[in-house]
Amino acid sequence: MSANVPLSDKAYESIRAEVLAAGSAAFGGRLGEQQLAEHMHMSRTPVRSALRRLAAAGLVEERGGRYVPRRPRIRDIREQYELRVLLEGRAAELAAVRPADDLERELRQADVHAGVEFHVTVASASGNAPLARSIATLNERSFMLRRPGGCTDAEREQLRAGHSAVLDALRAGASVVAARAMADHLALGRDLSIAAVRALRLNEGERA
Amino acid sequence: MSTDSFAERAYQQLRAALADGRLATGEPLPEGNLGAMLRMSRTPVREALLQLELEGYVVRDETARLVVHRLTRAEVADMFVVRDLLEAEAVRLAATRISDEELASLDRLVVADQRALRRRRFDELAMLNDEIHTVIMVASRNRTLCDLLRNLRSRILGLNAFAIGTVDDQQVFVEEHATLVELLRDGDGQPAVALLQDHLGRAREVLLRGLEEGVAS
Repeated sequence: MSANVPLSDKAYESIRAEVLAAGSAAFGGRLGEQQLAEHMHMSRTPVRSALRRLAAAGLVEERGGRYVPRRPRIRDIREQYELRVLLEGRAAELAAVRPADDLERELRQADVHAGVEFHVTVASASGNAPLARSIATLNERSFMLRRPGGCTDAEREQLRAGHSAVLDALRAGASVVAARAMADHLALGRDLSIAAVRALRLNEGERA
Repeated sequence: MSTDSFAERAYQQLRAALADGRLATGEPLPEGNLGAMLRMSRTPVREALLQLELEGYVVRDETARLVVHRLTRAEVADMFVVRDLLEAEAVRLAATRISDEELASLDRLVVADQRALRRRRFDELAMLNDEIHTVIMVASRNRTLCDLLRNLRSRILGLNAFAIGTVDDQQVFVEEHATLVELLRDGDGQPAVALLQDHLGRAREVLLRGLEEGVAS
């Protein structure tokens, strides 16, 4: 395990990024160990372990003895975002009542332009390690699909404004407002993800 | 089999041993003996231990020996914050999604629960408790929720020996299980969630008390 940690992490990250970006078209729809290993210039062992992790995260699935990208389902997205509202809302509440110095130390790296990193930073600012771990796992699984062509500038600005609203509430020590701001921001993320999956379906339909 | 999958197997087996208390908290972990226990060479065992150390299941003591990490009060309280949120959500969802088959198995588990209490079989009570909570979790039909809860509970399970409390505590737990099943049968989510939150609050107090007294009964 240890010798392969960096390599299998690398494999995991690049397969994950491609599956999230291209959906079922990723790697031509087939995730063969051998082809992926050649593509990433590594042996099959780290690729195999990366695919197992991706299967556990629900991003790929085994079909007929090989892995294929798992079609994201609208239902999965709704369920994941409900859980994120629950856990990340509580994390925001807890972070808002931390002593100001501790909070500032935690939020030093908070970047309103970053996606997952922003959420992981707020989670860890809660001071509750098991809560932060669960939130990190949820974020790792999130089907925050990039739409073909990505977010529009207006959408990106809205997401950034959501992050700022959360930070403002945290720094004001307003726990209820912080949780509400997080929930509103996640509702936008959910709607964009659902729209992205619908667009992906439409794309696949046109190609078929 | 490659080294990688041996290490993976060693990791899974050690996690199971930590969860069911075969490896108890505070106990040192001699790498050589573990190899014999798992019938594997030292290399995959060492790699599995590195992974467990990374995840905080085992820590090094002053003499750099690996020991099973004994959770602090604060860590247990933090875990219960997450467990409360996730299990309450599971119960809320299960109230409308649970199947007749699942209700029937809960009925059987509740009967077994009451019998184990009469016979003062604390080991059985711990196992039945786990099964009852697992059936309800699965009845939520939310795969991500189940994964998060399994991860969390596998850590709390390692503390089962401290979570028994008194016969009176167990009496209340068993009664609460029976009531919870009836509320789920009614499909009455709100009182079911409220009951579960009380139930977990009590479980947390019993566990914290057990850890404080430091006696694994």
